[in-house]
Amino acid sequence: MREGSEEGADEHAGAAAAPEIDWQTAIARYDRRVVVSLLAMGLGLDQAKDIAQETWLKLVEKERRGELHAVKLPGLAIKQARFLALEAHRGRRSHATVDDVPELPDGTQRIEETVAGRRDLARAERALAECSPRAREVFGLVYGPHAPSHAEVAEQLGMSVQRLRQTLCEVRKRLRLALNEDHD
Amino acid sequence: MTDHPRPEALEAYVMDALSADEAEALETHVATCARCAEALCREARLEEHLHHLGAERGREQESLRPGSRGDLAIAGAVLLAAAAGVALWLRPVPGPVNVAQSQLTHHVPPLAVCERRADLCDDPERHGIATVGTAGLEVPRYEEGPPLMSWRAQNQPEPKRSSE
Repeated sequence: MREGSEEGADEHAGAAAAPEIDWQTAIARYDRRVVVSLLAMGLGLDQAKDIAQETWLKLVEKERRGELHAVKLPGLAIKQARFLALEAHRGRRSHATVDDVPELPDGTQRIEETVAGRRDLARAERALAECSPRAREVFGLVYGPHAPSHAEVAEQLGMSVQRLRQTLCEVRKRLRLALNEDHD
Repeated sequence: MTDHPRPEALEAYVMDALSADEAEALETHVATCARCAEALCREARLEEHLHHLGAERGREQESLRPGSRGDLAIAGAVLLAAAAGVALWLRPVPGPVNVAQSQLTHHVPPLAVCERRADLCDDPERHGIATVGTAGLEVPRYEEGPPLMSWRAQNQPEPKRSSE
């Protein structure tokens, strides 16, 4: 998984002037996003959920100690979760043989990964260009840098949440086909 | 083992579009089903891909948007420079000013407009052509004629003669 692709949506900048973070709301909103990013790394669901929980605990502790000067969610949580996943992976590797532990990305990109990533992006861009303007608008908002919830996007576009998700599924279907072209 | 979840359910799970009960049921199944765990992993990878694509597009649009902060700053600087140039070009150039004699704080003798040199030398101070030289009031660049000689004779004391 490529690093640096995550964008923080909610920002609480400056420790002194930082508003109190509503962790309950943040966890309810972004926990699934963190779990999915760990699943994409190849972790099992149970392990992904455990690491996501540990991630939130660490972030809350850091915030209480005043160590978080700029909290960008979900970007910060995803980075923390990936770090913990890699740490756990290294710990397991030190106690096991190489064959026992599956490979996990170490956060650095190889050249071929970068090239493949760019090729995938170009392919996805082409597939997205074939979608309707409304579908592109939905995609741009849902997967944009501000990461609003589906309900917020639906309200912004004046459509129902159900309709928004149907549109998203159509876009995902096109993009899935486009991205799987090379792998099939 | 429960029934395998439909692909739409896996998709809804990664989009966080399932209810808590539905999500829990799916998680329970996936924990024991390698095939569905693999399918869920694929959906998660696609989801991450889409987030990455969305972030890239957002960055591109931000850099191309005409109203971005950097563009506004450049446009403002260009406009300011253009306005300064126009203002400099249209700036009034100091030229002759018509001022009534009564508005002047000190007396300026009127310009001498005379037909004859003799008229000037009649009263050089009044005509503004008299200057103070080494020998007292005099009319520069003009030969002294009889009228000026008489004017000087009336206004200047006699030079002292050294006693022999």
